[in-house]
Amino acid sequence: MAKTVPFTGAQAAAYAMKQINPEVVAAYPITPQTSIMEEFSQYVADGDVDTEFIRVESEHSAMSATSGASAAGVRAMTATSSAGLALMFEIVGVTSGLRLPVVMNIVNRALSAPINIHCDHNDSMACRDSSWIQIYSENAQEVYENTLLALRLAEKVLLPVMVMQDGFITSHSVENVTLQDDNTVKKFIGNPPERPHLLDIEKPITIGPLQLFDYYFETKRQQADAMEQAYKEYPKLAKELSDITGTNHGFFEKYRLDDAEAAVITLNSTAGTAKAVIDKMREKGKKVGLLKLRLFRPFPYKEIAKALEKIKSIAVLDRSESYGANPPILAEIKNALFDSSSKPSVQSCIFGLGGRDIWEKDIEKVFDDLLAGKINSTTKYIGLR
Amino acid sequence: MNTPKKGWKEIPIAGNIVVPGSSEEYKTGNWRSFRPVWDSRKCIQCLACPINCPEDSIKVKDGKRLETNLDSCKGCGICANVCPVKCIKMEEESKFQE
Amino acid sequence: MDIKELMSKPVRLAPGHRSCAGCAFPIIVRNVLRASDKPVVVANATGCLEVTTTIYPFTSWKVPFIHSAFENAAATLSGVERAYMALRKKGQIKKEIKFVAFGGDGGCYSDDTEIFTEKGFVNVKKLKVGDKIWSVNPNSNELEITVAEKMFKYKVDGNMVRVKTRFMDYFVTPDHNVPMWYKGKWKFIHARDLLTRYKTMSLRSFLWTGKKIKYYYPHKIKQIKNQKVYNKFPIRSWLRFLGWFIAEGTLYKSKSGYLIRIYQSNKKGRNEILKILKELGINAFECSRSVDFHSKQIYYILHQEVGKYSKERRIPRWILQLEKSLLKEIYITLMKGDGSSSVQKGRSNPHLRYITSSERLMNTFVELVFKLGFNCQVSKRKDGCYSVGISTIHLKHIIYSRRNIYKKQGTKQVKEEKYKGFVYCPQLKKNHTVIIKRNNKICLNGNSYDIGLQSISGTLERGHDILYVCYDNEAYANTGVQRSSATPFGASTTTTPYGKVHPGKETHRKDLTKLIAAHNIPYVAQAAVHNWQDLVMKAKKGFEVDGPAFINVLSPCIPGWKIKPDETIDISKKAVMSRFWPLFEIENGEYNLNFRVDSPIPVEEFLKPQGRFKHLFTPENRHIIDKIQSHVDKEWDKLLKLCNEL
Repeated sequence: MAKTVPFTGAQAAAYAMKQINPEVVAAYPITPQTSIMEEFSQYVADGDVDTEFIRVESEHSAMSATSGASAAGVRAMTATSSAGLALMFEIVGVTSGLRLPVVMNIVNRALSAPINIHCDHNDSMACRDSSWIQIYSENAQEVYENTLLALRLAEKVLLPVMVMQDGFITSHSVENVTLQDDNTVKKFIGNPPERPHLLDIEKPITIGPLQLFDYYFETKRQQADAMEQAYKEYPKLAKELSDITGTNHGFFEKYRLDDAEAAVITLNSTAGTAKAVIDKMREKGKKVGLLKLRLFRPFPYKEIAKALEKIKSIAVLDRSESYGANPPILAEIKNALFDSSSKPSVQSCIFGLGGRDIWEKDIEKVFDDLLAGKINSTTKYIGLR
Repeated sequence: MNTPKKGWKEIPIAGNIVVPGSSEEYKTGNWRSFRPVWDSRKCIQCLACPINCPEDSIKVKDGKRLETNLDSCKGCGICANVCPVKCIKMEEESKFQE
Repeated sequence: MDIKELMSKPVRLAPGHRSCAGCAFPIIVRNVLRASDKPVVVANATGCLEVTTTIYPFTSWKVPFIHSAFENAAATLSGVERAYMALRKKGQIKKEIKFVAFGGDGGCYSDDTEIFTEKGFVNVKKLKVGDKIWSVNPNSNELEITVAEKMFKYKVDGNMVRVKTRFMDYFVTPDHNVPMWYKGKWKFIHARDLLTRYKTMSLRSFLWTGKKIKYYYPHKIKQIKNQKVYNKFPIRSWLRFLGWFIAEGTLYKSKSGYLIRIYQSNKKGRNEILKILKELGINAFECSRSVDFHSKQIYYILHQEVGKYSKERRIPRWILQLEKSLLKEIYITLMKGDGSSSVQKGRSNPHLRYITSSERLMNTFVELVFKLGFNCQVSKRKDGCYSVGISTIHLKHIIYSRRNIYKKQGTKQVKEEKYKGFVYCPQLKKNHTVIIKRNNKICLNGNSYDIGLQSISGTLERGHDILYVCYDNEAYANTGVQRSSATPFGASTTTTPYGKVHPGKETHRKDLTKLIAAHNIPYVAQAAVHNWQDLVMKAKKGFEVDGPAFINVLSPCIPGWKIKPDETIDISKKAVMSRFWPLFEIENGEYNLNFRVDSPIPVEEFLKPQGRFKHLFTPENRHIIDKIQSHVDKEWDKLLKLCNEL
């Protein structure tokens, strides 16, 4: 039986990990990911999981040990944020290059310098070319379900998956989360696939060889192909999960978008704030809507273009900067619209860097500007002094 | 080594090499400038040469060393160097080429 | 460590790798891997070894191998090792795998332990390959018979784990696999884990599904006049009869015929026996103290299956294959015959006991008890009779750790005790559980997987069971010989070249071996490529130790040291003979000098053949050689002191 509990995003992630019961978890603490690991450590200490928990000495070692365990053929998971993700970046690429189905929870936090512990998306956006599948979560419920979905997807296409949530905003706030019972989850995640691994002594395998110009290109093409498979598999798995839990899953969520004239595109927790604003404004008769992105890599260009077909004006809210080029979400949206027959006007907005709050009135102003046609090519910095 | 190289759909993923010891096909014997010539009559079968050969070119059967495998021997000369009775001599490879 | 034996082992690093001609590391890798017979997983950091042995699509490795990145081989391998431990605990991996290391594993019993086999309890020393041994399936908790594939015996001098509770008694090696009952299955933990676990659940009752039959068809004999020949008996009645007979029956052959007599002074008992015989269609007559009948056919059947004399009585094997409810029939009447039930003051459940002078009956009775889902203890009385104490309750059993939170236990249940002697273990074909008896107490226990040689060092390390071998070529050779912290003083490398102002590297190298020793791991050693006996011995020790081990091996590099390809072995010898590279080991913090060099060669004889030191052999650089010599001498004296060799 499913049960609804008051959980933070961190607890939801840890509970999903508990139900997955990976054989190995290797992690290093970093704010605000620490809560996930602390919750999970309690599960380990109480014997609720069979996991071998390696308390490593750095994030670089955390990803090395996790990928080593995954190469040994078992389910391995980890979690990190910000500087930790930056430190393990070398092995992040190794993990996807070795096609290991690792699932990592990322609690989004700003990168240094200056050092900051609050939420923005530069850390996971920096990894958008690392060949990891990236799924963003609006609230604790999505964190819980995305983690389970991530495992299925990772094992289907043999690519690692990152599941994101906003640091502190989602990870440390208590919400109602409906948890599925162990048997339902077990059935959903199923058994891990047969794949070549290190502990298969009868068939010794060499993992991670030197590949020069005569083969490297082919291996990378295989990776790109796996991403294409992920793009095809994700909607199927999303539907399977939706049928079980009732939560909407899919490339993105359309909130009152179908008849909207102005729309806002964003991801993670800001989408929740936007929904509240949209409801208020709709009551006043204003036709506004939201496109909340979930799957960022692989990016569903065609579907996005179709969803935005009838929208007249769009504001893209990025919680990360690209410094010298279009911010990440804007770049992808413009890309999607390039081949579309409709050409809505697009306003780039950057907000929330280093945890700067975005209020309902800010989003309301964004919508008002869109509806008034006040759109230009200069980036709007929301909440900046 | 003249087999055509496989395409991206044919090779195992992630660069995994699933044939253990496949490097045996790669004949490093053509690196040689000097070839070890072994006088089996003088040899006392102490096995110092196979245990010190970096290429594992000297196979041992029933506790006795066999002829050097010229497909893998790189001609480093360690075998001649460690032989206690000096029954191995390093001779110029060009002598054996036609 | 016979060289012929070493050379007959399969080679784990194939030729065809592209290391320089004369490179030392392939020699080192092969010799280290020869030191173990167990399957091995190798992890490697980016460097000469990895790059030359795994050029796609070729690999020289004939064992599983992983390369992840530079400087993270240890972290990667610890992930692999933990994954292996996780699968071991779940019983999904039975094979013993080493991570370039042997961490003596599997576990064994002290020599006073008995193992329950098809023929009953046999001392573990006397088990042989091919013996049929009772075990319990860890997933289904069912009793199954399996076969001993190998027998292990080796010497132990160190700590073992002693478990003594009301129902269990065993004395095993710390890495011994102990089955614990967890979430409806048997999972394995190491005996040493019992020392720190709060409590461990065990189950004393097992499942048994036997055969179901309806009738017993007795063997027919030639017709004798007037004698009835029986064709079939209803199985339940036959079993009930057998139970009575085994316990209280005798066979008499006389002129008057073949007599079967069941002694029973109790009238109620005699009535019961008569009833059973009537069900079988046997005409019996009641005497004052027994029930008798004549039958040549049954006489011979009983003689053959159950035994004439009391000392040879047993429960026939075919009966022990039957299913539980049928077994219960014979159990009930056996207990009625030879069993005793005594009620003790203060105890609500009576003590059930079965007494017999026949060893075979005792063994088959114990098998019967297990198959009924009960458990028992067996002791031998002064008069030579066996007393089997049957437990039908107390079938879930908890072992409390020595942290003794519950004061109601008397002595500590789990202790470490020193043991000097031999330990034994059978390797089973499946299940890897055995039923053992020690000091009369019987319980389910684990057995070894694939043990090679083993030595137990005194300390129990909880670290990752991995052997780290450092190929010390004293530079970053793979990328063209740049200096590293391992490069010795005065050496010329591409980033510390000899120039007009600076004569090579101006700092002394890190003493990596002593640095690792400061981590207090159980085994650290320094070895060199030319002395293969020393290297293989150290690799063996490193593999066998429980926990992390580290060996630093001198690996001369031809382009790096600028020597000729055939000088690899020579230069390594000179390094040791000049005391530049001493061969020593540190076992649990105790230093041991393996090769004492009393008449050293001057260090310049080691330096001269190397092109990287060529610039030192000029008058203006003579002082650098002297500096190196005095450094080597000082370090040697320090080492002698540590090794107590002065």
